[in-house]
Amino acid sequence: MPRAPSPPAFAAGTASMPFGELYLANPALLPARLAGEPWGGERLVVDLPGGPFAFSGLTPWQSEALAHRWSGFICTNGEPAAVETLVARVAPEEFCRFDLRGFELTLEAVHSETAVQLVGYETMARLEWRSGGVRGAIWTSAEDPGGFAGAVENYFRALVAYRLAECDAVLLHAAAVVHDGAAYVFCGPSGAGKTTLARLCAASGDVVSSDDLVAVALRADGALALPLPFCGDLRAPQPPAPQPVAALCRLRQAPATAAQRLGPAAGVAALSACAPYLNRDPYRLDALLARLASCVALAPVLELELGRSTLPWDALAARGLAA
Amino acid sequence: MIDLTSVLARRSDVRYRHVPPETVLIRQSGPEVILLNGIAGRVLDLIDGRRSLAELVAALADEFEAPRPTLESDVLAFASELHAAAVVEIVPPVRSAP
Repeated sequence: MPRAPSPPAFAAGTASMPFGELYLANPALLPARLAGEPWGGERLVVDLPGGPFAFSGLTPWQSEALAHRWSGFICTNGEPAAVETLVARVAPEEFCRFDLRGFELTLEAVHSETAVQLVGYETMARLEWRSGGVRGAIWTSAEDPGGFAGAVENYFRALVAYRLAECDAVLLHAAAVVHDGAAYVFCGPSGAGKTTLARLCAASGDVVSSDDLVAVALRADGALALPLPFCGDLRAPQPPAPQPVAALCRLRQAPATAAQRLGPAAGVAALSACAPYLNRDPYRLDALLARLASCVALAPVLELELGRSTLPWDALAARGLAA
Repeated sequence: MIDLTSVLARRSDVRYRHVPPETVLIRQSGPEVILLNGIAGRVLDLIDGRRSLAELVAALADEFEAPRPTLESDVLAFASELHAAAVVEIVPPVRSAP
């Protein structure tokens, strides 16, 4: 009973220390419920796919820092939120301090049937599933706008990933490029070439809607790439409109550029390696695989070997997928 | 050593989904993604921590037209491969109530 060649393993690393010990002075004090001392009385509602998402407990400067970071996605009309998050203060002594130069910040997670706990630099967070859906809290000691907004966004990225999976959508570690009126989603871990490709596409006149995380909604008539403010080095000046997905491509760096269409199972396997947060959650992986199986039925998935400084359109056109 | 009396169970970090005509298997602690063909995916369904491999072969023989000796050798080879890949583990046989 032969098995087909295996795609490479997930690229994300695994924690080499017990959960929380890298970042927390005392991991045993990780909050076990969604409560804490708010920083202030401000509330910000962010309109992303799977939301709107509300953040309460903010000071004015924190609200401003987040609104600036996610500009173009802020609700201003008092819309009700689908997901609530409390932002709470925690003493700086709760966290380990170290020199961040040359250090790749990670977000560690432990999972259970009803909750996910997250720990990162100056950050603890918790997602909880109750009868009314998912809610969350984040505890941070970051007192500078950049550090604070970064800490909250790290949590927010995970929250959006989980929420999308509940809303017939998936979050992919990918760049999305709008070319000739359709979105091409280029998936891959850090170092796969997403940002390099996005820069090349932007330089040739295409619109890059993200170079880091992309939401793909699964609709009856096809897959749709939805804008998110979660970018790496590149960010569109305005959130682009949702675009139909023409193709999902798993990126690999190679000497020459070529595209190969993947079958349904290979497509699910390729996308699962690029679906952050949920692909490591044993309690929610089944739901992710179900969404990805729907996704590959709605849009073609390819393996795209990308040579240096090469645009992908000729290789995709050779597969009948780009003009 | 795996033989036809062995009882296997999927390890707790293994998840899979049938995506016809193949099956996607994810071993999260690896982490690793493996693609299986249709019959191999069916064998995975039947590895339930209760059946012996002999019982599993009998169930497959009801579903697929293949000579029994071929099924036995294929299942044993595949089960050994899954065991080596830490996808399944050998568990004690379930004793029936007296």
